[in-house]
Amino acid sequence: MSLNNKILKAHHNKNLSLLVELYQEAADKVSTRQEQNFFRVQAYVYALEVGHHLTPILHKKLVKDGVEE
Amino acid sequence: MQKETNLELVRQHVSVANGLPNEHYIDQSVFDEERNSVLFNQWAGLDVCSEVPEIGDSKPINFMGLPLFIIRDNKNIVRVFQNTCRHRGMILVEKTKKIQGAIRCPYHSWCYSTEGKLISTPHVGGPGQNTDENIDRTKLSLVEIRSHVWRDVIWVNIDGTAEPFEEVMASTIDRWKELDQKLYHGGEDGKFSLKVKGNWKLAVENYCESYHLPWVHPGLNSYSRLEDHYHIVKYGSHSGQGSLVYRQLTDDKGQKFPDFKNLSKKWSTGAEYIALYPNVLLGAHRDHAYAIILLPLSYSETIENIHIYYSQPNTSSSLKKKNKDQWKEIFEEDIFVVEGMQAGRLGVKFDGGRFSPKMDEPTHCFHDWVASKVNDFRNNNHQITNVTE
Repeated sequence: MSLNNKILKAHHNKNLSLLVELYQEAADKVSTRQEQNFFRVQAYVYALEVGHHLTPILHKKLVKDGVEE
Repeated sequence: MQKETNLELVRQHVSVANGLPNEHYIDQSVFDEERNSVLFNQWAGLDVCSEVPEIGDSKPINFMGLPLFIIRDNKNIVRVFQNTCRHRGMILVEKTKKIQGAIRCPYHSWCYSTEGKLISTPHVGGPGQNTDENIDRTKLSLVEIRSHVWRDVIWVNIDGTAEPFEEVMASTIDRWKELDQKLYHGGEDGKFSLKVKGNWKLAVENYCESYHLPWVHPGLNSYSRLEDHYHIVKYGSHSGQGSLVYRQLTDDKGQKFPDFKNLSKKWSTGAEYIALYPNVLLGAHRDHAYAIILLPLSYSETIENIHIYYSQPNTSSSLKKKNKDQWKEIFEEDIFVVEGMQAGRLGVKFDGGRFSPKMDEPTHCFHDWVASKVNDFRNNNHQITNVTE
């Protein structure tokens, strides 16, 4: 299954913890900083919602890149 | 168009006063006026903390057209917020649920902490950019509603203008200070709801007095006679009734609920039932207590949410069920009078009714309070915010 389909399936199943992982994976596969940040923001938001253990790490990365407070 | 009812007769001595005019029960504009003058600017009951027992638990509540939600935050404090995202006004909490991390708006995913702080605004500055120089998160927290917890009840002062809760409710708090002990909610065996086709005030009025007991509650009256009751009347604050012959419930094995600690002798066979204005009805006994929160749905419909409490956490489940069933039967017996009084107020020549000076003072006390608050509101030229249209 493609990553895109995995993400769609996770959205359908409301599996938010899985979305955190899949969006991070997506961020690692794109080339531009803006694309990376887009996917990382997606991962961060779902991480925030579920209280994911990676939330502080994602937050730190986004702050470092100047896209989050 | 706003109807301005004449409340002069209501505020007379009980011996000559009339009750509130019909419009206070059957007119939309008066309902709207009361929402602002006797509910939103006072300390009104909204729900109980036991409905959100664990950190992160949240529950949406529509309070007279106002979308709110309650939440137990990460510091174990129960808070009340307007259930509206600061971005596009989307409803944030659509159903009872546990917030595991942040409250995420389902529309554009603005995220709030359980304390109401705006903590992320994804893509607000464009794709992948969560900040924007014009978005100051510190000014975009959720709108918190002023609240106070007493006897597990969450009281809210929507417009934020009331004096502190402890001051407004001082006489009731003082009256029941020996009962100010840890309350344990009865769980599923300790709650039920009733929907009544009647104005919320009629439920208060019926609760205030014991006059109706011999006819409406003949079973109760067999051991708790009319003459075993006394009035509780505190003009400007609360009213109700007390009983001198409370009898503890027992199960098949003769078990009773454990008592609250160190109560005075009065409570050995005493019980008190107080309507704490505007919309909370409280009951207290040596071994259990309850709170009824009246949520007006419209001028002619009310939800009664009943919660029963005990002095210990692990009391007999069968006994709790028996107690719940007993109270439910009594409260259901009252429904036909509330609905009948509502229907009777369509009689255009009804003048608000005459009170029995001996038996109806607790009811008049409530009418007098409503009339005084409506008058204060009118005298201060407050504007009515109509949220039902």
